[in-house]
Amino acid sequence: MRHKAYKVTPLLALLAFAVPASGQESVVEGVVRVERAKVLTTGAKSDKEVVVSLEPLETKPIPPPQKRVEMDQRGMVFLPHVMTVQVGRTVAFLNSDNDRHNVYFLFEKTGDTLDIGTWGPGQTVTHVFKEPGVVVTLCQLHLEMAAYILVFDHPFHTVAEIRADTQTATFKIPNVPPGRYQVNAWHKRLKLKGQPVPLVVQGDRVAVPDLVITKKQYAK
Amino acid sequence: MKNSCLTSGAGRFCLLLVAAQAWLEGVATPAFTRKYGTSCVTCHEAFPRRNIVGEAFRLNGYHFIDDELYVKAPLVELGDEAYERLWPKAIWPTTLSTQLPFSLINRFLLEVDSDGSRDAEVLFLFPEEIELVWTGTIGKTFSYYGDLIFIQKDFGGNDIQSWAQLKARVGIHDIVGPENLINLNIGTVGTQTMGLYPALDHNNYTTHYYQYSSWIMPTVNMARSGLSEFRGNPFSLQPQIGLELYGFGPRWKYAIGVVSGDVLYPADVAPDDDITFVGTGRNRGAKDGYAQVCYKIGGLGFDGSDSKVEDPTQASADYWRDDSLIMSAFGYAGSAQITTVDNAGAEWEGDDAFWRAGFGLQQKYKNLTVAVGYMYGYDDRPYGNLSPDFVPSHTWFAEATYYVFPWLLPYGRYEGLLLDLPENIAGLNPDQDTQRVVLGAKALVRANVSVNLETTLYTQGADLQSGFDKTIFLLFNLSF
Ligand SMILES: [Cu+2]
Repeated sequence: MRHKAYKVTPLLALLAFAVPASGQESVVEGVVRVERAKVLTTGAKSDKEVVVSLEPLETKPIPPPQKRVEMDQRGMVFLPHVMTVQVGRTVAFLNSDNDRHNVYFLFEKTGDTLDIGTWGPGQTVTHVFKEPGVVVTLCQLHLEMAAYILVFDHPFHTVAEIRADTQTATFKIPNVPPGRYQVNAWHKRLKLKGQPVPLVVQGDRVAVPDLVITKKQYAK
Repeated sequence: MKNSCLTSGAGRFCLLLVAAQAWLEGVATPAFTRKYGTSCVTCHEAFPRRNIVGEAFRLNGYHFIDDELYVKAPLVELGDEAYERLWPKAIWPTTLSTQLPFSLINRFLLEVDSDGSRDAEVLFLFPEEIELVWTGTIGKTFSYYGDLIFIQKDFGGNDIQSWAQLKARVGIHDIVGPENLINLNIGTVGTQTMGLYPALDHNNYTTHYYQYSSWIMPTVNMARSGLSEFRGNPFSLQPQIGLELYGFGPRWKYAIGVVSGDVLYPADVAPDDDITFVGTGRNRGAKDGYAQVCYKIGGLGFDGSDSKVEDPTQASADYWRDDSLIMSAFGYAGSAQITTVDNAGAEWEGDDAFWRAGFGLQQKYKNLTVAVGYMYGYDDRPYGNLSPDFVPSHTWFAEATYYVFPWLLPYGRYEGLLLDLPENIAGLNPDQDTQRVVLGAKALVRANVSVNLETTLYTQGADLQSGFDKTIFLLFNLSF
């Protein structure tokens, strides 16, 4: 069962070189399965979120949406716990508590940190990420608070939720132009099994072969 | 059976003025970190010392503002909210936390004598204290705090004595009038108010008590006094049993208390009993009183207000910081029964009426905290029929702490006690002035695990305090 992804991969890879880059936009959908691990789906900082992204292999820059995205701090918890955003899009950090909060980034790729400030009830500070990557988001006033912001240089990403009973998450990424992509999955504790999956997008709907996330030692 | 210096013993350390190690702690409360699912540092800059958020939490009767959002452990309803509307036909509803309200604080102390003044070079107090703390809230109106502390203590390198002691307190909040103005504590009161804020032993990071709060009027050496019994004034700024009213606003707070006074168990000797209540007083008609007032300029409000910031990019995210100046004044007035019995069996009883008044300042600026304080004392007749003289006392301190890292704070304190003791009492050394430097550092190995390395150097009266002078203290503290 868990080798399914491997079986279809060579076929897709072949297809990938034969596809014209024009036509209508598609919905890309699929399932992420948790293997040899169990994901906790309850609590303020559960492990239920998995991020799926489609990295375009033929670069045609798409500007970020004007509308800002928001991350709240409420009840001493970052909401949402996992968020995706495109480079250049404004992220607003709110404070819905009757206490001060801080926002402090740890950029996973470089190890750099950035403190964007400390503010009180009802106040908001905005930030625009300039580089793609995983940004661990912390509050230095409440050391248990943490969120993950995944910054991409394209708009093809979504946060899917793993169900407690099936340990699977279904995802759907709309408005994907035809072309060649690489499908990747990110989870804060688990890793994508194998390599990112090449995908050719064409037609109304494109089904991605099941993505498997598992513990690091089983992900090779 | 323990030996109480104040009433009978003639041991060499009966002349000691100062209880050296903190032994009345019990304020770091991991039960709250469980209830709210938040780190210790949300409320403590270096436990047990609270930051301003923790102080507001304490003053609010162990609640954050609008904290129903923060509680991670579900609450048990002892009646639906709707019953409020049915009162007096039904019991007023309230809530309890589903978390057990217990915490354990474990202190392990290693003492190293660096100058050969003790019998043993190294002393293990493993553990020095095990503190079982229970604390929590019953709805918004009631709070409770209690601790049972098992203690081993050496009183400056002597034989180790051990006992247990209890504290228990109930708070009733927002009784009448505007919010936060009138709150009442019943039970063991004064842990946070008996003395100058914030120079309080229960909110401190050193292992040594402040001299101004822990000194006790020197007793007489029985062997040389010609007496068969002497009971002096046992007063020091320790928690006592009584009632306390307190209130606070953004910039001020007050506390005023009535306590039994004339405590049975002074802070510098092991009690005669195996288990005692802290601050139990003699059964007598008179009561003692105290008051503490504070005013704050800058920083967050005592009530947790003023948390909006002008410029988020300039506001500090360091939970220990709170750039501000706090002024604090404190007063205590009371009396203690003085008893002398001479070798012929003649007994004398009378009162020592006494009072203390102090003023202190604390300035916080970025990673630095400095504080100074002074307390004047007046004892009308502390030696009863041995001397008609009154005894004035002056105690003072100046201290500084600096955060080198969020987990490392070196500190230093210079403090003194000047006493004008009667010259002509047999068995009483009239010169017992002491001045000392306390130097050390506290390292937070984890948010709830700390190590203190500390020493005390006496610049005056070293001979009176040879068991403490130049002794190195290594304290390991683990709270969960
Ligand atoms: Cu926070």
